[in-house]
Amino acid sequence: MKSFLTLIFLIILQTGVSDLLKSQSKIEGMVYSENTGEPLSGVSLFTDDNNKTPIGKTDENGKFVLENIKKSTVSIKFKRVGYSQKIVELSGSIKINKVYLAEELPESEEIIVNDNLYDNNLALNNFYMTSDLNSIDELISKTPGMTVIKRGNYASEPVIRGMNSDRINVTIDGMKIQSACTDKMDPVTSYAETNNLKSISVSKGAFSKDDCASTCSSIDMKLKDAETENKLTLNGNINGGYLSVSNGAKVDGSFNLKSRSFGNNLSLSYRTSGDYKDGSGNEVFHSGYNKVNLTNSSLFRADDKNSFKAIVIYDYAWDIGYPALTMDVKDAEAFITGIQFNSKDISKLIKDLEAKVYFNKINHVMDDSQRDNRIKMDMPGWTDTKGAYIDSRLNAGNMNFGVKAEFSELNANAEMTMYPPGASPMYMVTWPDVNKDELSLSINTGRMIGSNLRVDLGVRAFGINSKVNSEIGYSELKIFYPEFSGEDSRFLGNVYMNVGTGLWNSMTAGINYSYSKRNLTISEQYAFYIFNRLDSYDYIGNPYLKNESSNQLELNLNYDADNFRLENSLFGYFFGDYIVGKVDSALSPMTENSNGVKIYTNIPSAVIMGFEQTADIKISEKIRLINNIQYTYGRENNDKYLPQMPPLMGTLSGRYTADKYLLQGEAVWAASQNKINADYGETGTPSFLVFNLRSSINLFDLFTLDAGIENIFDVNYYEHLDWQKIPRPGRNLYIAINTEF
Amino acid sequence: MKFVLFIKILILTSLLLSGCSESDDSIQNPGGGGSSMQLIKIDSGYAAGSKAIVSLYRDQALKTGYNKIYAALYDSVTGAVITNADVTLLPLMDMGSMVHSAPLENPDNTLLENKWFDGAIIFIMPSDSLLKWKIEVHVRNLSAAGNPEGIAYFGSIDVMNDDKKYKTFNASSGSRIYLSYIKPNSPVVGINDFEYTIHKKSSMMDYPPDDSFICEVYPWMPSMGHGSPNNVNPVSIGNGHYNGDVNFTMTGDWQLKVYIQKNGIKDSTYFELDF
Repeated sequence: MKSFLTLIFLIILQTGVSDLLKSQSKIEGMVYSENTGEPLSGVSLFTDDNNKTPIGKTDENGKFVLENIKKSTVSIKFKRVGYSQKIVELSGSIKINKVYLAEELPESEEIIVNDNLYDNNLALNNFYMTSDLNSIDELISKTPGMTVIKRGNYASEPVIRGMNSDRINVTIDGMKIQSACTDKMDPVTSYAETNNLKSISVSKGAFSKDDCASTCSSIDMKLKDAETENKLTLNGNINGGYLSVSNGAKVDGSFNLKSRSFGNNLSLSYRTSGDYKDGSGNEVFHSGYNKVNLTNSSLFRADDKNSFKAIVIYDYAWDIGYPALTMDVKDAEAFITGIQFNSKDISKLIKDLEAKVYFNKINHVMDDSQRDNRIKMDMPGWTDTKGAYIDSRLNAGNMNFGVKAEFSELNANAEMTMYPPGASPMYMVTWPDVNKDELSLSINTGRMIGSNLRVDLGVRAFGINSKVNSEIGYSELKIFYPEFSGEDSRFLGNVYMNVGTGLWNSMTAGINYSYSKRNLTISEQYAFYIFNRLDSYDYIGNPYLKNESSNQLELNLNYDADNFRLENSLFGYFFGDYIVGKVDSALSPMTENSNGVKIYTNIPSAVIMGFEQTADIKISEKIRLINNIQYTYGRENNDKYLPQMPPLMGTLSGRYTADKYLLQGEAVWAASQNKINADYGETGTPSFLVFNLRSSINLFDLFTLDAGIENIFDVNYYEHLDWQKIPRPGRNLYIAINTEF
Repeated sequence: MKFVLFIKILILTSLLLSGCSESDDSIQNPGGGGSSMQLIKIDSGYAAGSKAIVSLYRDQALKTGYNKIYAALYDSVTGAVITNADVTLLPLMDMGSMVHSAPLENPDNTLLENKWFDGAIIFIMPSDSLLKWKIEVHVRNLSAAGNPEGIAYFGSIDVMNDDKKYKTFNASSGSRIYLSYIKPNSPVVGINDFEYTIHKKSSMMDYPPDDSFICEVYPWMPSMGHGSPNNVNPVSIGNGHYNGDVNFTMTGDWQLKVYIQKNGIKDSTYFELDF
């Protein structure tokens, strides 16, 4: 689908440029900050296919004049440090064209999934979203700086710069959700589908206001919006595809109803997958899954300024295999809903406001009926989260502020019943009916200092109260913590500061810094003999854990010229009171074949450092290369390596685009990883190199056909973060057909 | 059911209000007054010569191991509750060729709780169709003039076998010893107050308590092969009783492995629980 859009985009571009050379006129306009309303000086104007030579610039009053324009309307790209670039249709017939640029939220990477956005990420989008068959896991693992921990072929756990889901706040449309599986078999990302997402917004550090509620980094999955239109329209798309390696299939559809004041978007999808085959042709048992997702988003526009949005998601997955674990999942069910109110230009002070109330509920049932475990087990978990927030942008003089207040209450339960042959069933509570209330307030502001330096500042404070409600669970914890009252309160905070500047024409630099204290996870505080298959230890929580702190520093250096774009990030996260599981040799493990018991403990410090680089080279109008490299290095204070760190890895992809078709080749590689920590059951991982070939063709302007071969040479490999060294899929032929109406 | 609940609430409320009510429920309490104990009558008998009638109660089915025994004394003429008396128990097993007794704890007449004379008998073998236990209750009636004495006889007492909570063996230190589990009566996941007794055999009729063991306890889940952490080893609290804490991390079948040590020689046994 995306490929098809790119084609159209390029065609429009070409005609646009040639039109530009024909007529003669003058276009004038002003550029303002969308946030403060101030005129913006020093904004460079480009024709939207040319990044190198600006055709104009705004003066100190924010005014621009474009001479010798040969067409009545032109498409112009506006660029300025600290602001999101924007392409605007300018018209000679309008005396003063007004252009508003939004301040850029630093370090928030958007993976565009389904949106027709004209920005320089478009090339990357195609790379991320190669076909409609892609899962969210695949998109995430293709994003620079991100990887996934795989326990099977479903519901991979996202990892940002070596930080696993304990350190990532994953939300859907800003709504907090608590995974219900104690063994991390259901990261929040598993409850959405690609075809109902507009984009995935990733913050790799605590550097921006929306993210990082109380963690180190965040992922927000933004749902497709319903839209309104002056005349009644119905459009949408229907897609279907097949994957050979797992005998898998996906069908999905998205339907938009638009009217003057009401819009509705309904997305439905169904995926099924059998056990896949690895590169040696062996079937990887217990790797199949099934999933349906229904997402409905409605928009009611009361007037130009006020609108309401309602979201309902129902996601149900069943018979999911986890080859790297000893158990599978019978059901994973999520019901997610929220109502949102948006208003803008409320008063001179309040520029805009978003208020939301949400509720979600997850039921997760692990079972091992397909396995020959000596002791059969049931391990259900269920959570629900209620929350509300008000997010506003305020203008006071020439300063602007973002203010967000949020309250949420989550409840998490998990238990385990084991059925030993010939003995009584054994029951224990693993998450003791924990209620966790969180109240947070954040304030941020940002402005230009001089014409070339942008500074953003933010603070956030939150109060967290957690309470153990299960009587049994409380009694269990008292075995370890006899003085524990069953309740725990914390006050935490974080601050960030981002500085960005243009160095010279095509080069920009930025420094992002943040200090944050991280919220504890339910498991870290209250786990009771939760088995971790990676190191084969039973984990026990610690209600008295100190909150992990981190000083995060990131340096960005970007070069953006006409045919060459280079983005470099260098980062260092310095943790205090880093939380790990420490072996307590006095304790005997609960799980059979477990090596022992670990208790969550603070160690004085840890550090994660690394870099990412993306190079985007336009060799010709038709050929483009994108190269990603990333590296992460982590150490504990005792000089041992942090476990589960991705090695040096990257992807080189080249794309050839013609009028009606597209070809893309990819080389995905990773170096070997021998910086391991045996305390966590880690062993080294060899390097690999895998090739993929993808194509997309437009048929009769009606259909897009995506087809390709992944892992062409049937390499038998696994990534370092894959548990139990379960091999990844071998050669896969896929084909997908998409149609829009 | 609701009516019973109502009555219970009524009783509880009246208790709270008055502190002591004049209930006549002899099953619950020989002298009146509320009690949460639900006791089952074994039998009543006249302790001839003592001017007292003895009613004997148990709180659960009698079994090998530790059994609480409750005696209520009534004046044989007036039927009034007697609280001033010396009461001693003597369990007897007549096996034909020999007669033996059992470890026991006599009621302490200075510590009458709700007018019960409560003691304990550790039956060391079960009864069968031919061999039954007997209990003699010796009474010295201090409330009657001349402090008359007499014995009430209770025969044909059935005792079930419970080899999970009662263990006996010849200790390495020489004597025959008897370990009897007392609590937790209703084990729960979490921390449990653990108590048992140790008695030894001095003669067929004498089984004194032994407070001189150093004990350790290890809860163990045999079906999974794991223990539990942070247990508190039992220590003697006198009269042959040992008290500690045992922790259960889950429900199911548990063993409480008990190590007893004297003069550097260790023996072990285990109690078995299932909840």
